[in-house]
Amino acid sequence: MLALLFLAPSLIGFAVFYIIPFLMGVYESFTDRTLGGSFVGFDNYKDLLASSSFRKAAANTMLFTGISVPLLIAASLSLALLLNRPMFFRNGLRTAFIMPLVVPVASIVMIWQIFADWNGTLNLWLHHWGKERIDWLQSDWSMGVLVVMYLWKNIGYNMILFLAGLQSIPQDYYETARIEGAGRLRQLFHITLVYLTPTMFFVVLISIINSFKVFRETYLLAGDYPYDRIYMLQHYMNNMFFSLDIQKLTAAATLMVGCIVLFVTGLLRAERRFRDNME
Amino acid sequence: MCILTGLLLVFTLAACSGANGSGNHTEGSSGNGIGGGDVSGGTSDPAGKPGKGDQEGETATTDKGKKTIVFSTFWQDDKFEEAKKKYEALHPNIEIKLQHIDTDNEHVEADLEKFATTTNTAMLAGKGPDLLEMDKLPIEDYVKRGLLADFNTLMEQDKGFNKADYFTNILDNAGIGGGLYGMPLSFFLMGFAGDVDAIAKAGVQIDDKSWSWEDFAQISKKLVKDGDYPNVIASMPGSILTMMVTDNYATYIDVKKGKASFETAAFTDLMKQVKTMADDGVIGQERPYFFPTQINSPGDYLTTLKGYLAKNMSLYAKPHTKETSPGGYFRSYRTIGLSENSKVKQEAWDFVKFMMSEEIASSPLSAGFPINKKAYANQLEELKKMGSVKGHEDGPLHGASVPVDDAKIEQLTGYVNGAIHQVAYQSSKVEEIIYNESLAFFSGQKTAEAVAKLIQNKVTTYINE
Amino acid sequence: MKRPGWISKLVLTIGLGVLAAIMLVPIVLTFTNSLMTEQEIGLNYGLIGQMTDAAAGGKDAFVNLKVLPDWLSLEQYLHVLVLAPKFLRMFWNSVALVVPIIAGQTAVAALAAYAFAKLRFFGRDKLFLLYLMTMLMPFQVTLVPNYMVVDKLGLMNSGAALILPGIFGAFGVFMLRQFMAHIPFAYTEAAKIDGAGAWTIFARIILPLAKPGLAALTVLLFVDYWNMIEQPLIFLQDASKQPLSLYLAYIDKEARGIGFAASALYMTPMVLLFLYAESYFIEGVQLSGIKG
Repeated sequence: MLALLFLAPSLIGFAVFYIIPFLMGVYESFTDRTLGGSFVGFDNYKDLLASSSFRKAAANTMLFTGISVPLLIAASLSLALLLNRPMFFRNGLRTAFIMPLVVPVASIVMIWQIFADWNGTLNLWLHHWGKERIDWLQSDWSMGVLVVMYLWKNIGYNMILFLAGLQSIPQDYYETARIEGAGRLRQLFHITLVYLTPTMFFVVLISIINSFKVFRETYLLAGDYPYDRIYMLQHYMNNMFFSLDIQKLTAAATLMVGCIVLFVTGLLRAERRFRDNME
Repeated sequence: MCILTGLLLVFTLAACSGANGSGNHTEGSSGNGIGGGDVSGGTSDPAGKPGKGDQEGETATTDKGKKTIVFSTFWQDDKFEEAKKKYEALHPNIEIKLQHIDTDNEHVEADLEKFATTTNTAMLAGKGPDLLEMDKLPIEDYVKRGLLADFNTLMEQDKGFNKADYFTNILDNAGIGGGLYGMPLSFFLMGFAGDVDAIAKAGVQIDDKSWSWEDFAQISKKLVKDGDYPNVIASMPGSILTMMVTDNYATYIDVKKGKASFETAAFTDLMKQVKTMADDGVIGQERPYFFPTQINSPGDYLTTLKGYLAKNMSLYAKPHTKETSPGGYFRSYRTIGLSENSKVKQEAWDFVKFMMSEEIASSPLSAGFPINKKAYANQLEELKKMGSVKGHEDGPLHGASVPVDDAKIEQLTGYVNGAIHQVAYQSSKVEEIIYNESLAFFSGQKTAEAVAKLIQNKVTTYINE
Repeated sequence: MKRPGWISKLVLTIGLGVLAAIMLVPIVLTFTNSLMTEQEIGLNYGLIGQMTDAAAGGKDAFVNLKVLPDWLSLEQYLHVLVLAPKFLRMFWNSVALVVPIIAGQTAVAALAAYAFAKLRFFGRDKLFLLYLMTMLMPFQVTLVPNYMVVDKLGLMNSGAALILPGIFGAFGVFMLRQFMAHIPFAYTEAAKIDGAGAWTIFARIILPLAKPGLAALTVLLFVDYWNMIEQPLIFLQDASKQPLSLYLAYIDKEARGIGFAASALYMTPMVLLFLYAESYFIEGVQLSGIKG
């Protein structure tokens, strides 16, 4: 009951603005048309799975997320650990890494075009070395370009989270460990990483969500039908939205959310184990 | 937070009344539907009628028995403004709300996307406008989702509507998916403006009722070899390729099986053939026999055919497949859709009918041939009275006048009545893909095979979504 | 802890400095290129998206990446600020949307996060999972239902249509719950024994200890909502109410010069906020942080 008092303000607004639209979206995926359609069970899902473009999009998305999220987490965690150590200009350096967050999409797109266009700077460098041009966004390189862009954009985001997480670890844990003669590496694995578990859970999920957000840049750079390799679920869903095919759109989204939720339940379980340990 | 919100409110209110000084003032948080240009764009009724309904955000509230028809367009359009005023004067119980996107030249492309997003969302939520200008919207998708009403049904049910008063060749052929879901208030003629004398001089016979792209290629060779002019058609290789593919759509795309056939020798050969045409000068801007053209109005017809610096020009149908029935091409303009969910369907249809009538007179120089036969006849009368038409100052005529010639007008009426093939207002996704990707081949930057592969991939993705 | 020598400090500084410099390239380029004239932009970058004829020397035609302009010019800024006064209005609109959202979400989320992290109740983890699920749903799906809700509530075309959903977003709840989960139970248990109620524990113990999380949340919320695009586009049809993010969300290829200048202006307040927040929040938190 006590919990309800703390929850109430959030819960009321959350129900109206998030749960209702969410449930409506899921419900739509089981009907045959928008607005007052009749219930058709899993028909939309059958259509969806029959679409080879959807399967391609799902595979590409999994590949992209599977590569870029672990890379990002490893990179941003190392960065946070390094930036948590004494050095010169530490504040300035920290700020530098979070700066990409403030760059608006328009500017990102223009800069990346300058580099990755057919006539762009990267190809100019290749030309200087006597190599053929590469169509960066229309070849198997395109996935690489997106991974780099994603890392560049989100490394600061995760770094903020990890830094805040690191500072939440009570210093006396380390003191105790040092007194007991634990080395640097032991401290890292037995204190830092263990106590970062809740932060890590958050960072993993947010990184996945942010990996979907690269869509905006991709879309502006390569259009609604980009090269095969970078045609992702977000392209699929966006195209479905613009062709007003709400059935396939909602079915695709529900399926995607379902898959991530399975993954999240695993993470939640790991986290519960951590919490039980703490208590 | 309260202070901030308060300041914001004051600010917006100030902005509203600044833009719309007539005192017909919309409350800061009311307004509805999409576009919302009625607040800042100054399109509200300057008369400032009392009891202006629609404060509740409902599409069709009846306030003191008054019905509101919401009409959403991309551009602000004087023609619709005029129709609204006239109609409201005749029907005091109806209010027409015009909405449009505030756009400037730098953001058209972006604003088009915004327009599509907002309109789609509102329509899917069942809160969209009653009437929509469909030119900039994906009308086929709207039809597929059952969002638009069929005008054929409305026309049949309406006893007072006489279809013979309109260009039935257009009405019968502007349909999509078995119904007339978009009412073309006007249309353009599409074709090739060809230099009749020069073609005759080169000793070439052209039957534009039945010429195919193969015929065109043959004729082009002869024209370049024997004729006086270096080029045959003023176009880009990408456009010619796209036209050739869309005319043989079934050869390359099997929608049912979800199969595209672009990674084939047939397609790469076609690309190479078009490239050869460009290299040989068949496609070129220097001095061609044909100009792909769009005729916007009777006045435009006269100036366009004179504009290309040849005395005797005539409009040819573009090459097409043998199966295509002979006839000219048109493109619908100001196509109006009527929302299936509209609560004022009959009233909206009546307004559409009004916009189709001859009462909305337009000058023979303004864009679009009217769908109403009488309005077209009136335009011709006016044109004859004018005696001559002045060309654009910065066009090829440099402002010179073209006399109105009865024989030419006669010919034009023939074209107008003979146009039976619709050209979509916007190019399709497949056309876009082919055009954009083939640029790299025609400029010599990529091989035909590499480009064909990209087209194959993208089109396959598109048709299998 | 041993005090690390200045050599290791220097090595670390230089290594990270080089990395940071690379990260900053796009930002530096945006600022310097915003000082070019439209003509110079055209000369340097006109080839983007073009396919030049290979036979006519197109093989050697490339974009000319230029860091410093030949001629410093404020032309683009003038264009943005004088010819498009709507830029300033939109800027203000953004502030008026983002500030209430940050304040509101932080407060609402802190309460809910405390319940999720430190209190026990039936269905806690299931409800939390529901919060997470809504974050995963792509906007294209929730846009139409959201439209219906906002329309039903009569919020269409007002700032509240964005501020209210903003305040109740799941992001803050999720993030703060994770940070509160760090706080050892021993702290709260001790207070409980002393007879402190849940509110006292929340206000006196949890909130101060969650400060690093609150600071990070402020920054991240700012970034997220300052950049939001779809919601204002749909819910604020009235152009005079739209935030700055819409001005830059869709930029036409031809308007590169203006794009750079507008981006530079767009970034400035965020850069300043970050510089300020960096020294104030994170360092401040570290000093007063958990000593155990």
